[in-house]
Amino acid sequence: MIRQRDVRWLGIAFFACLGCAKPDGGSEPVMTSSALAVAGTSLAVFEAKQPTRTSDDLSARLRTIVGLVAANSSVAPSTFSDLVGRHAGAAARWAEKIAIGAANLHVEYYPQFDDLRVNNLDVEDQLNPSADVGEAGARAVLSSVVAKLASANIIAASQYDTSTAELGYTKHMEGVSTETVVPQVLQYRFTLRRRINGIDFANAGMRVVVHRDGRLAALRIGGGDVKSIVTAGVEEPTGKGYRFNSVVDSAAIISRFAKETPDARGVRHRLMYVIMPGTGMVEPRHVVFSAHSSDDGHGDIVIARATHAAYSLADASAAPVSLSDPPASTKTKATRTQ
Amino acid sequence: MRVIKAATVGVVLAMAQYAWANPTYLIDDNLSNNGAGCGEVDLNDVTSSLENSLNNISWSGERWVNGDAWPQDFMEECSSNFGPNGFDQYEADNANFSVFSGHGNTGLIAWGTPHDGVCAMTLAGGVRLGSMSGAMSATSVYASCCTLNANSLTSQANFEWTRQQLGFHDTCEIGDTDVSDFFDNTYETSNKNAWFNHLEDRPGWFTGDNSPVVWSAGVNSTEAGNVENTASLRQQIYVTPRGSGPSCNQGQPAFWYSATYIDHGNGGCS
Repeated sequence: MIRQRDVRWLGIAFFACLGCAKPDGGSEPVMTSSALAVAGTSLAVFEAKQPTRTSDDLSARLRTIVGLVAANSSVAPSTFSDLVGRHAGAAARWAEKIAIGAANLHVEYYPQFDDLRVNNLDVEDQLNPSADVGEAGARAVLSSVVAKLASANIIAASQYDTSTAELGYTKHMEGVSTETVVPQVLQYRFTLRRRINGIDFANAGMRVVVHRDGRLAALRIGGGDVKSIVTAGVEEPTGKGYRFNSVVDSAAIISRFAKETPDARGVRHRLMYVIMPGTGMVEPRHVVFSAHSSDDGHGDIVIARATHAAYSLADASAAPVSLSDPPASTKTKATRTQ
Repeated sequence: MRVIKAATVGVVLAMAQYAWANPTYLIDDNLSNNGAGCGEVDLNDVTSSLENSLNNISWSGERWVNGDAWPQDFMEECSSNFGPNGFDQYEADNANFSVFSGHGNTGLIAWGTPHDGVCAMTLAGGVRLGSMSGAMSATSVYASCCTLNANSLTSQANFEWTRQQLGFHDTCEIGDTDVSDFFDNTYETSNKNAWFNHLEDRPGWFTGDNSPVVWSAGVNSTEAGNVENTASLRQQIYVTPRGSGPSCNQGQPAFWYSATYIDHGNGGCS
């Protein structure tokens, strides 16, 4: 039996992008949502599952991903087992530049996040490709990549919906220093998050970068996971997970945010599952990206670095939880004399 | 003989691009800004880890923090036209690698504590890294939002004389170790690839809310493109001063610039 729960989000999900990146370089003030929360919905909270990947598993993933990025699927498996073996036991990021046939690649991995990135440097360095496959052509590449990852069991196809991918661009411009040059689209950058019952998971997903000429320039994939079991197509929490009924609408949070932070810049609203700091739990939250602006008292408007804040859907009055690194806590006294 | 001369010139040029016995850095970071006099909020620390990375490979330099970080560190010294009491020739333009961390806006960098009445200045109006007094900076990082907004490059960033500038097109979030991860990663790849890899998102996070920018300069398209694709801090490629820049209050000579940036459309700059 399917109760009134997460799947309801699918019914009200929409994509409104009033200031997303545009190929012509223009942008308006941003208010973006890939979905909004509605009060009275049964939502699941999951226990986070720490990513653990064996050397063999990572080698197999690398073989598939490198095969896609290098457009070369005939690479010996030992190439990747050797690569992973050189970093066996690493607890923090590692990176290598490798050659696969004629292709020069950059491979980087954060084991603590299971965050794997592969770049084709030969493609990335081509700044002025003449052909442009356009957004439709790039989306076709995205779909192909996702299908191949699914067929290789690197992702579960049911957890990804390419129609929800957020599209950004790499743009390039060059000219004489006194000339204003119109930037050209160099790459189509798709950010595709893993979905949990129709809601994006901020800490897991992929970025598929398609060069202007249609070649795959880079692929980043990985992130966290949750302890769950799929029942009738719905992910149900296991372990310490539980369900709750939301009592807060996104509309109320958007209104609250605007009232409490009138000086915010570059605001982006999203409904997402996030790993809540210090809890080991993955909760659905209304997440706001924004930067504080102020008058410096000397004639300039200055903008702080942005932060991500997670608003509760269970408690309308709860203070938002910062998902960003906190401000430095130590106050230092100026001691410099010259 | 001509072949030998050409080879000699080639070696010298290669050394100019690649070799630098003692690379230097200068970091200004503005953390505890609330109530410090410039109307700003506190920020997280994105340069302690960078300083450790630099020192670990024997780069030498200074990191000024809070009230010890002065706008004059980046202010051109040669003329008061650039602001009061600038002394970049001892600080940001006395280093090969110049790093600013704090508030920003289009073409602007802003300190948290005023010094000699200054909180902020524009790249064109006050910062002339790589030329005039000092003229040692080859690479600058602006860990501040909007400073390298792509729409402002001609009127702002193009008045610098560094080889490469790295910053952000619009609003940006930077994790505590993102900039040091970028620097460390230039051991394996170019500044451009490392900057994009580490400043578009933090590890284990998939929103892509940042719009990192890489700006490169050269005498022509070929050189600017070469700087863009090959400049690397840790491999010491293009870490030496660009040279032949304008002298004090001289007009900015024309050059070729190449800029690549990621655009996720956040906006927020003014």
